[in-house]
Amino acid sequence: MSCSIRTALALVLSLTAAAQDAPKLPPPPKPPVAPVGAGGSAPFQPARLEKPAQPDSIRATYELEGRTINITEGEYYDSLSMLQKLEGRTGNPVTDGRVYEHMLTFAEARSVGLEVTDEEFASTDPMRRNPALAEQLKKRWEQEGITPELYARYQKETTTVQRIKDLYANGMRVKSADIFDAYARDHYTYKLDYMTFPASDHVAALANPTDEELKKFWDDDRVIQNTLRVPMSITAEIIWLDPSAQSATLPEGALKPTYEETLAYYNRNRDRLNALIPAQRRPELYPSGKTDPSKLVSPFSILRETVEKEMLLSGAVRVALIQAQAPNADLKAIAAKNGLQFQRLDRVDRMGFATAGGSRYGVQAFSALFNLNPGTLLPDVSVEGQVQWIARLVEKDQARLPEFNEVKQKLIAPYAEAISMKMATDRANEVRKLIDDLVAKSAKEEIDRIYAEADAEASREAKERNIAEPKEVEAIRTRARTLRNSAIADVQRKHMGKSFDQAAQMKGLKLEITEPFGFEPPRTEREINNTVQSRQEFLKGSYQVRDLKDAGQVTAPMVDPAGKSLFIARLIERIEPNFSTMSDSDLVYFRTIAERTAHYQSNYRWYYYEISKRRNLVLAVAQPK
Amino acid sequence: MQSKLIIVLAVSCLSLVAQKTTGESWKDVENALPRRGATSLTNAASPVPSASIDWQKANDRMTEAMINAADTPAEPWAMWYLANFKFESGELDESQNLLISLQQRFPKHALNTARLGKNGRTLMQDALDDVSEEQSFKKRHPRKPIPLPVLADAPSATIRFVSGDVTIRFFPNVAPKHAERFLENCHKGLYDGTRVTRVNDNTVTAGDPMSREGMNPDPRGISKASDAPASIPHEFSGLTHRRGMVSMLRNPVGNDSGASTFCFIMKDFTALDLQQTPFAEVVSGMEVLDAMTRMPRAQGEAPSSTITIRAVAVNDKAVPPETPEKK
Repeated sequence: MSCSIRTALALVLSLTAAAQDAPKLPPPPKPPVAPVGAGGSAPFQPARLEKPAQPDSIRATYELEGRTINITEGEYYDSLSMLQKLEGRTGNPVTDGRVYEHMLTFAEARSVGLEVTDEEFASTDPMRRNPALAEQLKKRWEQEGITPELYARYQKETTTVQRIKDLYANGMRVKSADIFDAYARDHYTYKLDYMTFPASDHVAALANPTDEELKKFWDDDRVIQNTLRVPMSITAEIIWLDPSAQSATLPEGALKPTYEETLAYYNRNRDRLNALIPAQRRPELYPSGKTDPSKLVSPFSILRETVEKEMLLSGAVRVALIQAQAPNADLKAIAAKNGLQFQRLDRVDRMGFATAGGSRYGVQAFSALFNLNPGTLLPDVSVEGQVQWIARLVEKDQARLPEFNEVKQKLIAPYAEAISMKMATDRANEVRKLIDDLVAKSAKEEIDRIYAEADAEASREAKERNIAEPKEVEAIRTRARTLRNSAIADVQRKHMGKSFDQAAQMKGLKLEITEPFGFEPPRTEREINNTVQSRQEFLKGSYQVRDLKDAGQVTAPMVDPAGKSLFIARLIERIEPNFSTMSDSDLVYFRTIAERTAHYQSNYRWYYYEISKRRNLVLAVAQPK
Repeated sequence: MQSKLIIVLAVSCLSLVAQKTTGESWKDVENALPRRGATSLTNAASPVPSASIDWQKANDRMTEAMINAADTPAEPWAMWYLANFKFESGELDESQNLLISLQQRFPKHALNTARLGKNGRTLMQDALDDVSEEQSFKKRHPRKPIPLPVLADAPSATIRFVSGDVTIRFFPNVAPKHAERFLENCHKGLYDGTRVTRVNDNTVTAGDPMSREGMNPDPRGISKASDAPASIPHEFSGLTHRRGMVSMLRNPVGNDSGASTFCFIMKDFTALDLQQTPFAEVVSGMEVLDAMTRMPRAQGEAPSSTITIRAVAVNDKAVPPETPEKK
């Protein structure tokens, strides 16, 4: 007993003496209260390696297992130095963020017992197993300032970090229910009833519009103005040649080019000319081993005649251009003289130009001609595919908006179409408003009760917080009501179905019920007619229908511009797809998507943004921006 | 029941096995992992898809690693991984047993105590919940597991390029429609006389009937040729776009395959996973394709000189690969 008292006394005395002898160091700087950098963007600047003057001073703190742990300047310097020597590359330097990521991830891994021990490292160190390699590396390390101890520390720490990353990467456990949820979103089966508002209901009443009505329609409707606008048009004369066409004839007395000239021309234009090899002769280019050598062909041997013809006729087009440049030249006569084709296009717009054979001159031909001054030629021979052509613009007319009287008769049908659609839209909106009004009426009691609860709660809160300022009280009340928006939406949804029926009855609208159907992206080529099938085709592709979740929910008016109708639909039921019959391909698709998300999330844990937030990293020194 | 017995036996036999060091045990465990945590966020996007992992093999390897790691700190981790792999392979009862056993034998282990799971829970709590949720879901929605891709011995198709032959074999158990369509195209002579239309470091694309006419083929894989077949639904599976795979180009509208234009994968290229359907693998002739990637290219990655498919020969009998080397 006395021994233990003596020991305790000696301990107390020694501690007191030590405390008196110790030099008084300034207290380490405290980190700021606000977490600088924690959960913020990663400091991506390359870290500067500067030996700290005070290695024990605190650079940052973080939390682990309920304790606050310091990172000293010395510890940070050691880690940075290690990472720079073993990971830093020119152009990819180690950043501050990387150092913290490494330190925090290592600390987290160590805290759960994943740290690589010296014994573990020793038993698996590849350097020990391969001494020759070790010797080579050591020599290189000496130059780079890497000691075997630093290498061992790096290996142990990075292996520890990899262990915790592997732990999450191999424990994702993507659940079938999650895959199914993702799959179901696109594969529900819907059953609806709906009311239709066809524009055709109003067309008969609009068959005989007055001039005033038509004039107003013409003046106001930009769409019809654009439709009936008189487009720009041209009159042009064109001389053209297609050497590959059967009709192209050689000019009289033409001198055939030599074999060498033809081959040289072919080689210069090989890619274009090879496309002229007829499909039926192509197999000759891939002979079998048994083909008679005398029957072997080359692309040039097949094309030689065509090439010769093209060479001669190309010359003819150029001659025609020179002749056409003479004042008042007759292009038709020039074409005939040179064995070329001639075409005159009178007052054609862009579309008329294309349909009258102008497409052979290329998509830019109309614009090129329109940009000329009347009476002038295109400056050079134009080439489009195999076609060579020259042209002269005779005259041109600018686009213009016609006078009302010019188009009056053409306006009657579009007027009926546009106005009937507007009337159908108004009627659909009116019915939808009626549904909302009926909901508001029937759900009023319940909604008032919810608002009353919200108001009472707001009053209590204002009272507890001693708030009397009307503006602030109103703000509290608004917030309390806003928090109940979803409850109110639920009540409204509950009453919506019934109101839908009432509105249909009041307005004398017939409800149609669909067969159960799955969502299909809208198709442009669907057949448009006023049949039930056509209407349901539209509903199948409606994203508003796809967003319906609960039975009784009603859509806003949906416009089918192609079918000239509007619809308001109510969800009768939404049926889940069958997981058991989902195809393997779909299962792989949705599973892999879910795995990618889970994998990314698990790896995101170790990213500076996430780990600094999770560990509440507080930097004592704000990082330079 | 039988597998439960095996686990119990395996666990109870742990102490009888010759001891390895902790380091060696950890090495065994790490080598048995089919996935690795990404070293940075940039390569965290595409894990090895579950459907391409042979979970039975992974289970066997981890079981062996677990037995070898008996009484070392690596043992509970090995048990943990094994429980997760059993989950992946659909052996949910075994997974649950392992988790419970881990909970009872190592109650103070970090897996049971550290708040590393969702919403401040332990990883063990999360795992047990996931297992019971999956059990209940699978009872309500039973279905067969996704088959692992199997490269069939026959038939094979030899694509005769002007520069050499490339032989491919198919994965009919996971991409039957694609294999069938490709062979149908070959029998019709659809590919004869067509050209390689696009070459880059990742892919060599060929098979568009349009390229026969010397016109510009559609780079997206929908041929405008009159004899081009209709598109077919995608058949995604555990096959990934690794070097040597043959993949059908995708129809840009929807997820279907274009059904005629295909590409050879020259480098591991997982960006194409879930975009296109791989359906075959090169068993010989990779050097012919490698040579194409070294040729000069014109605009749009078309080879500057024409590479034509002379013909495609289909062999219904099994042909052993001439050069299994792929790398």
